Amino acid sequence: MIIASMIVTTQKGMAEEVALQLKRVPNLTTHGVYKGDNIIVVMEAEKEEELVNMSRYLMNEFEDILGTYPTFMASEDEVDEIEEK
Amino acid sequence: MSISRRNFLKASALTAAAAAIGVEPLHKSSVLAAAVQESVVWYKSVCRFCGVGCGVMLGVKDGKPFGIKGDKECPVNKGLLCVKGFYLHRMITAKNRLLHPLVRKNGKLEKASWDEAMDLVASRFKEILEKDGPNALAYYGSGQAQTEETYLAQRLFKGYIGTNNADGNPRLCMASAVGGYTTSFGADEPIGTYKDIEHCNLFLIIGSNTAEAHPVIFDLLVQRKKDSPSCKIIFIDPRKTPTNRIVDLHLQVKPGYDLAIMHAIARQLIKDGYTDEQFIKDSVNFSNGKDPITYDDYKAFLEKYTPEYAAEQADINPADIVKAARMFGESPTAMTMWCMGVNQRVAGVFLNNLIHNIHLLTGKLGKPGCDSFSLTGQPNACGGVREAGGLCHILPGHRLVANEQHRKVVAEIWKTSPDKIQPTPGKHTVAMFGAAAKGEIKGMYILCTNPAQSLPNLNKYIPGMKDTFLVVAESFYPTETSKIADVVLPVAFWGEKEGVYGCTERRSQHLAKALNPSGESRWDGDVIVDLAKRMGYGKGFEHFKGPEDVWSEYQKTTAGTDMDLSGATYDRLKKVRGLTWPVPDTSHPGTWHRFTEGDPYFPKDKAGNRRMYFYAKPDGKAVIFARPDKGPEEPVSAEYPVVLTTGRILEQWHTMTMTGQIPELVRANPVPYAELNPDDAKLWGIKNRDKVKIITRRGLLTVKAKVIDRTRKGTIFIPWHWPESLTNILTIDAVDPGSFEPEYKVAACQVAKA
Ligand code: SF4
Repeated sequence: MIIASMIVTTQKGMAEEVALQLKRVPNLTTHGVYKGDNIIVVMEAEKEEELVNMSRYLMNEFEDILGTYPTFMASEDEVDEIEEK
Repeated sequence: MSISRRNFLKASALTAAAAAIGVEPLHKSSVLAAAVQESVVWYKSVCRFCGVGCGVMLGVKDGKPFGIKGDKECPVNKGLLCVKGFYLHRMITAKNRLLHPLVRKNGKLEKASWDEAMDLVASRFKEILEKDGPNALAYYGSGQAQTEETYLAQRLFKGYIGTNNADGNPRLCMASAVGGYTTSFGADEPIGTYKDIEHCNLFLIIGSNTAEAHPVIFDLLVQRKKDSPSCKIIFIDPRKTPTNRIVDLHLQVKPGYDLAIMHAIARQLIKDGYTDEQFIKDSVNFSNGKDPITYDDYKAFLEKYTPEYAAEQADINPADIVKAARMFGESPTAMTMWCMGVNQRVAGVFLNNLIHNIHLLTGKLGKPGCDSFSLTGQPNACGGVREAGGLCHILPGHRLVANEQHRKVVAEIWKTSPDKIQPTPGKHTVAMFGAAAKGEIKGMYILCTNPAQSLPNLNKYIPGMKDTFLVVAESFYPTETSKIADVVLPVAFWGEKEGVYGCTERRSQHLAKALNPSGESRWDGDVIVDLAKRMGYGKGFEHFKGPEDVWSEYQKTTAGTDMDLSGATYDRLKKVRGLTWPVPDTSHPGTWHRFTEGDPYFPKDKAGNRRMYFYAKPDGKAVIFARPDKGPEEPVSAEYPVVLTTGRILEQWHTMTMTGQIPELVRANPVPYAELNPDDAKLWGIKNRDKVKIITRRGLLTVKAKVIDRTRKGTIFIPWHWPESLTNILTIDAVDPGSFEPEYKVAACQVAKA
């Protein structure tokens, strides 16, 4: 299982609407709209390739999305539990 | 308190995203992220892919690449990365890394020691040199090599072996931009920088799918449009692409027929009174390409280019040309951006000139928000090849082999005799591989590039490459070129070596060495110095102990030139996020606009009241060219009725030597395909995913059909990335007569269901 985040940028004024639509996309959670039209999304998926596929899917399927910029990715299996300091 | 790995990772993911856009961490996740990253050391570097020059931080944990993040402090991308850049670190440890030298024995490449491989290369090169002379040897470099590597290779081949057959793959992508800048303005590379985007209200994009090929620049355009509601974008391109999403006016031209449009825009700008007459008087000459002409001659020349004439040539609506001209003219600022759709043409230099023309006519140059700004495909095509002398006609510091004084200056720095540097340009890329095919070039050293996939009309050149004694220095194996090499030298990859990259906007940035080279691989510079020593040139190279020594010497070749890097010392570059030259001393902050106030070489005394003085031209004036509207080399015909155009997609880069190592990127578009217009597909009885045969006068390729409303009717598009399906067996090797860049963008073909 991998967890990844990206910034999704949209047409001006469309971010809230796109964020709502993204809530219906499986494995994706949206975490708000920032600085105008940037949506922070986190994705959980089985394989790392899903990040690229998701990026392509979002660009192809949502006319109001202008770009997807990955910011983080890690695998859940790599490390054991982590102690919070 | 313990938290699950999953929650921790989610928190880290949110923190990273928030950081990338400069908002406060979304919750306590930052504390957690800091905890896990305690043992990670982050090194400042630059993305290894396109020419945008995004700053990246390469994380290393326990001596292994840990991850990549955008460098928030880098003014280019401010923390943002596209999907390619994001996977960079994974390439360092890719399965296909070449870890030891290979030497061909009995027809097969076999593992060898460095000594065996280098002795063989040196002895064969010496043998060829003695028997057939220096011009039987050649070097073919790369816009991905670090500046120090390109510089050393030029030094060895031009300055010691004594051949100017030393070219690089930017010949295939940027040479027409070089030709355009040098003929129009007198010196290569843009006048402005990315900073102009923040001030610009009208962008004209030609022949560039910016959204996919330069995603971070695309984001800068997106942000600019949002910040400035009056900002508009005009797009001239044969395809609809994701770039269209922010475009206000699209001129979907017939491939190869856009020169007339640029003339028609120029004509309209004059007719509507949008010209800057004072600027023209002060800073512009006119030429027909051979002789000087007057402004009135130029106006008369333009009379042919009515909107109707140009529209007929390009098969678009004439009203759109008038509209585009008025949008350009009315806006107080304007930037034109272009890429391979302009450069990879037999009229590439002409088209570059015509772009510069409209900026010169309106004075939209050398001030905030104005520039004619060429986008670059490779990360160090500008810094390494265009600046460090990596083409067959140039020497480091924008100097020319044909200029005696330039040869003298460079020879002195190189500690060689000026006579050793030949006074005539060597063979450009296509001619070089043509000479190999004819047996005239007998030995070739190829560094960090893959011509057996990237040359046009491949079937013509591959046999010659096989016959030549071919040495390939490469980080990955196999590539189409290393497969046919005689010796393959394993070299350190990005992150395993230190150096400098210079991106599109004249910004030189330092890349840190974060890791030791994999296996037996070595820094390319070290290998070149080793070869020089084994060939008997040791004395001229013994002072180079590492990349900094090379850079310091290279700086001397730039001193006093229009691209002065004297102030960009390693010490300084390691601290700052790059410097835009000219930067003549260590206290100079770098230059925003060239040829005007603020450029340290702007000659105020000569310029007088002139706002711009193009000091690389004898009288300080740039040139507006009345160029003919030359069409493609191979127009469609009854026999080959369809236009073939080639290009790139977001997830892949060039010949997939790197991105092909990342399954995640490959799977986004796993199979080679051709985009077909839905009307054409219907007419030809082809459905989505059908196999189609594409036939040109040079070859046949079978790929999957992707029926999609992107290309114009009568045009197909094929991305050229997949090595198992060599698009370049179809492309034409006709070159621009000025830049010698091939016309990858237009060929005539037949399409049929396979
Ligand atoms: S835009 Fe270019 S330089 Fe920036 S991350 Fe993407 S590939 Fe790298």
